[in-house]
Amino acid sequence: MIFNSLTYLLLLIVVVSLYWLLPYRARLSLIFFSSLIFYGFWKIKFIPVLLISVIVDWIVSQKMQIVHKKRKSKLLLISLVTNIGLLFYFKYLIFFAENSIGLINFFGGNIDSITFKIILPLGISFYTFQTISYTLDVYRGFIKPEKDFILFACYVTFFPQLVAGPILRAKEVIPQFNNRPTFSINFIYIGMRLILFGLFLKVVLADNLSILVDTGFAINVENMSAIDVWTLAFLFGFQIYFDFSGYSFIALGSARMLGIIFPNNFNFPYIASSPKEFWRRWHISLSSWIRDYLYLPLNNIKVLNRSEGGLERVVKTKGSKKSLFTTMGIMGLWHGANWTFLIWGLYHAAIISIYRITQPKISKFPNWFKTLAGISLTLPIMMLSWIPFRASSLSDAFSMWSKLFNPFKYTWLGMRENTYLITFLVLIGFFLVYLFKEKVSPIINSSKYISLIFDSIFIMILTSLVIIFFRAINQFIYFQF
Amino acid sequence: MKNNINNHKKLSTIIGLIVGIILLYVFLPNKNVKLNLEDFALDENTKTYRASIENKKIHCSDLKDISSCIKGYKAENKNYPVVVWLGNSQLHAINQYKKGDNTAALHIHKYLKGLNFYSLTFSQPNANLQEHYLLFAYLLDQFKINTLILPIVFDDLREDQIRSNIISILNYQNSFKRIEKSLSGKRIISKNNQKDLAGNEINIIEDTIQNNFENFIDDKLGNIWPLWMQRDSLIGQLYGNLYLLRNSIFGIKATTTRKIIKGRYANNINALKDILSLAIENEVNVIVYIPPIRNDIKIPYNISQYVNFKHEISEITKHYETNFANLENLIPAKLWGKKASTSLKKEEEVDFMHFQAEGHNLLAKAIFLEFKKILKLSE
Repeated sequence: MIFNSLTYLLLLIVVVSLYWLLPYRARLSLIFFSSLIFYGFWKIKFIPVLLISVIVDWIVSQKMQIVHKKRKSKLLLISLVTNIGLLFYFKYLIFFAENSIGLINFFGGNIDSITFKIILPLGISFYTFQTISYTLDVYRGFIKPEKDFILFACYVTFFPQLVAGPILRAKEVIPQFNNRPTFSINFIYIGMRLILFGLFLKVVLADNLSILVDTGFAINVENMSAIDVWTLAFLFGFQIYFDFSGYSFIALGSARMLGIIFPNNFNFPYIASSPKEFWRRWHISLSSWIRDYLYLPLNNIKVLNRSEGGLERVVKTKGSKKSLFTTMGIMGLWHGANWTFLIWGLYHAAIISIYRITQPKISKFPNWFKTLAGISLTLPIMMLSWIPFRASSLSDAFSMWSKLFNPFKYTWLGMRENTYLITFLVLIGFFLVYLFKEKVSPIINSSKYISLIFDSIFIMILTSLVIIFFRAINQFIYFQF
Repeated sequence: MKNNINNHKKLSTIIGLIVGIILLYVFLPNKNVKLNLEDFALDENTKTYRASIENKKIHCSDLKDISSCIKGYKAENKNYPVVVWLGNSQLHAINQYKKGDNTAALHIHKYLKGLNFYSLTFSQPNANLQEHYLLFAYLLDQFKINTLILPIVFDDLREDQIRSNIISILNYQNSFKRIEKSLSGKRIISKNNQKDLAGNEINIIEDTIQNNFENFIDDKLGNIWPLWMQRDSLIGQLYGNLYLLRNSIFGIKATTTRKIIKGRYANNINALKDILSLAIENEVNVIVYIPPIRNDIKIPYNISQYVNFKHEISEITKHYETNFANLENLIPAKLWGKKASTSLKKEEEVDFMHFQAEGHNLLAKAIFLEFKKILKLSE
């Protein structure tokens, strides 16, 4: 089920109403079954795949508590093989087979390509990462295994975060289910506001930008100018940000209506003044997952065990660069079985490495200069990373990047004038909204009546636009990963 | 992770939601007028008219009404060779429309009928050559086409989008096969393929329980809340106002010079070549022409680009041994007209694209003359 649909809103109303009327045990069952309905509305046949992951991890974690350390490792292996196996089969098998055949043929082999018809189950990358984190946390002794199967199943399948995150830790969610929240009208108000804002980002901003992005990336690369490449990088950067943060806000709002509080997954990422800061503001739950389950363990460093903070730690151990590139490469491939995603990840690793080298030299400058220069440099560098992410092939991505270094490619425009105008307006709008939130909003909020007027106007505009543009046509970009 | 919200925020949430819905009713355009987004650039001075003769449509738009034109031809039951005329709004819009006015499509139909040919016209606002290519490939499967009449509008070479009522031609196997190997065909197919960034099927809700259920609730909601069904008109109005605002801020008028957009221009020129190849392959005569443009004032094009364009089209037609006519000066100044302002200012502007009914007559005569040249050649 997709969030920007009437079906979802109807399900949410029914579930929220029943949830607060039912006793505790029934509430958990309601969440579990409504999550299965939510998932089954897409394709029922993939519910067993989801349940395999849930059941295996629940059993493995139960067993872990009663066996000694050596057997614990074997049980962990069972969980990892199951989850990564599922992920590999559905997501990477075709890619692996195609590339293996290509490689064999390159060295003189003569193998015909094999045709597979594998449909990727929605959200598999998210829920497998979530279950892996659970089993690893139990293995590490960070949490005790949850005895209640339904409660554990609610943690994995909880519909607001099932198909596109945020990827949350068990210790952040299970206690909240356990605490049996009592009804507060605040849950509903906050939830409604978050959902409205998320829908605005998705159906008004992201979906309208997607038309320009799709048209732009459909141009033959040879006919693109360098200005087009910059514009498309920024445009797609904003589209994916509005799309995914819109999804996250709806997830946060939906969970909040059920009394469950999720941490923020996005925090104005394009305001970051360094690549390090960017990863503290962009898809925070994924970057934190990568930090705790890949990056820090690869460097033998104690993990933080929370889905916040992103890749905040600078690790200076022997081989840390290698682990950084490995980590970011895996993070890239997590998004999809394509070399373009790997390049995206490695690009970020390279940028972080360069930042680490230059950071000591920058530190002597005044703070205001560091911030201003940092934002001015980080923003375009981060935006350019979206080129391989969105380009249809590696050669297209490299051709687009190469244009940026050729002054003769700056002499024409390959798209409609509106595209440049809209990109510019979105960029300016983004910074104005940030400044408004940071500087003007506190002043407005200090006066009851001015705050009431401004807030009403804000909600009014959002409501009108969301109603006008609400269509269950466009899926969220992150559903595909 | 706060769970506090003050009473003002609660109140403003309720006020905002209610006023937001009321606001939509305030701005809702006249409920009886169905806003046609495609013909947004036309106004009360310029009327859209797609002709019928004896209740048989002879001028259609795209797949949404194409069957009525095909039905009309088949109902004639005389197996006339078909002449297809593809074009943009110049073919279906009449400036300073008066009752009884007709388009060139109707005139040419009558002229050709006298020679036992049956003409059908298909036109869409700002139609580009890639769209013409798809439509031509589709029409080849509907009847035996004798001649294709194809205007090459300089303005429309800036267009690249293929509207949904034309792109769905790709779903027809025969049409798909006709274009799949050509340069522009490959491009159109890959541009409109149904895969997402990660290579998965893009429309995840198609053929799912959600899709059926969503349509069901959408219909039900439309029945109990009429505004829900009128949201397209509201979007049209919103975009329309943004368009006027943009033009006002940047001083954009009908006379503002439009430059070519390199990539789009190349895509459309490739599509022209593919149309001509397809025509040769299917033994279809082609009349390529440069359409009339208002010539008593400075045209809104970069002159050197426009001159190069005409030269290039002429060269392409020579290469493909196709008939070419330059009709840019065909319509005298007095037969052109005005259009409503394209900015927030209320002053009328020059219309470079659409002429009056008498102009349509002249165009039909000129095309008929070109057609007769082909007949003579083939005799």
